[in-house]
Amino acid sequence: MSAERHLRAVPDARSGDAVAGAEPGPAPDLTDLLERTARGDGGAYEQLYGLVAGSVFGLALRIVRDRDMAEDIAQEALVEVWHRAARFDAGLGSARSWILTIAHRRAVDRVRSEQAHTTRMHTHGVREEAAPAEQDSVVDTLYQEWEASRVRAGMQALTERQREALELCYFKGFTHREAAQALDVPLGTAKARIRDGLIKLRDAMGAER
Amino acid sequence: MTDSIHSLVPAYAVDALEPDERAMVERHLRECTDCREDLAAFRAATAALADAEAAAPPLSLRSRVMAEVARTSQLTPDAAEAPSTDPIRVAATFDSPGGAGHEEGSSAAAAAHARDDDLAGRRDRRGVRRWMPALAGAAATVAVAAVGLGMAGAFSADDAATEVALEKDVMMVTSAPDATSMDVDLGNGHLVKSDRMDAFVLMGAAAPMPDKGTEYQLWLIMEDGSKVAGPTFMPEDDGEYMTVMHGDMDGVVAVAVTCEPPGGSDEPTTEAVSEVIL
Repeated sequence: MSAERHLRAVPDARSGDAVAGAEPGPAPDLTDLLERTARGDGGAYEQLYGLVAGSVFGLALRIVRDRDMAEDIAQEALVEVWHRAARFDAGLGSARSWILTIAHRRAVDRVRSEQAHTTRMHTHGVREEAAPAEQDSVVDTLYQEWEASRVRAGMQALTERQREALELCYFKGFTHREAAQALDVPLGTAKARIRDGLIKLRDAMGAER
Repeated sequence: MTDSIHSLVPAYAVDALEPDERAMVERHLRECTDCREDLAAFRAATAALADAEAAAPPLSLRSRVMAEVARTSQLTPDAAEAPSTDPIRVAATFDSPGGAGHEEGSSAAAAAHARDDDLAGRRDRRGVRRWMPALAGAAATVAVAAVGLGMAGAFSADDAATEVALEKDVMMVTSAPDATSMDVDLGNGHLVKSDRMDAFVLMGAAAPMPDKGTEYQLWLIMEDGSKVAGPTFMPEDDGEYMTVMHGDMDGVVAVAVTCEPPGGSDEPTTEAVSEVIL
């Protein structure tokens, strides 16, 4: 029953196929790899790493905008995936989204705690902006570009206001209250924009299929 | 009430909730199928947003992660299962009948499958519910990362690695932005609590050894008086000790330490040697 829900809501199979294009052999299924990881299978974990590290690191980088910090967050998140693999619940989303949720939460927590320590940050000087990623490991660029354009297409479906709300919350680490404040709208409006934005994005990408 | 919680799910999917709201949604998700399905769909969208940001990580990341993973324990499917025979896969002791963290004959595959079962039902079968009325949900999230120093004396080769993992865990909790600290009367100890990390850290120095033949065990006292078993731990020779307990902090009113037989107990068998009211 959870497997069925999983297939419906999850782009795992797709991402597996795409990566298999760059690597010979059958497409590894992320859910399967995660379940094997949960049983302490280091080989499965290494394969899993190959499938998600780029997104985990890229997401962290987008949020914290500092390569060293993003690397730290990616490391923590990927180790947490190993640590918590057995707690993955397919009823709450795909293996891929579970992993990215872990990474996202860590990045957001970091951004929020950094902001809470603004004074200290000042004494440490201004952080460097993120440098362009060096292509120092094998990633499936084609798949990423395809995925990115697909998301861009999805983002086009959103209103400017929905995009803004999602950008603030998902990529800037704002809480919905902070977003409401920043956008100078009532909390209910901010909540609605987040919800409607996610629904449109999901529909535009056919993620629900 | 349910309507308003439901309306928090999208913000939950983008991590835009305050810690108390986050906890509320997580509790709600355990019982609301609609919200679980919504969340799965929202997460498919956020995962795509994340994938679109993919960037080549530095090569060093892989080796750092693999090295860290090699010395990191794994949680069991839920706190009710402890299927590992690997000594560093130390798990919850609170639900295993013998009180030890190692339950033979329970394959990981079965355990992984079992997580979809009705948790409350399973717990009931195992006779644990008696001390956790109305707390099935809370119990399900109390994942006890019972990595205590010198724990149970069951392993030595991995002690250093375990200690590193524990120290890192402790550091994460104690450096959390919302960490709060309270004195604990166990040697020179204190308890650090972080809702954001969903964890308690108990650490200190100059603790006396527990009664002969026993280990210290940490307990969460819930508002209804029930007790959730935590990790066991032993002070080092110099009396230093450190232990971490992860789980949902909601409803925890106090933290206590008792002396228990090696491996810990399901319920306290002795009077608390120390107790902190939160």
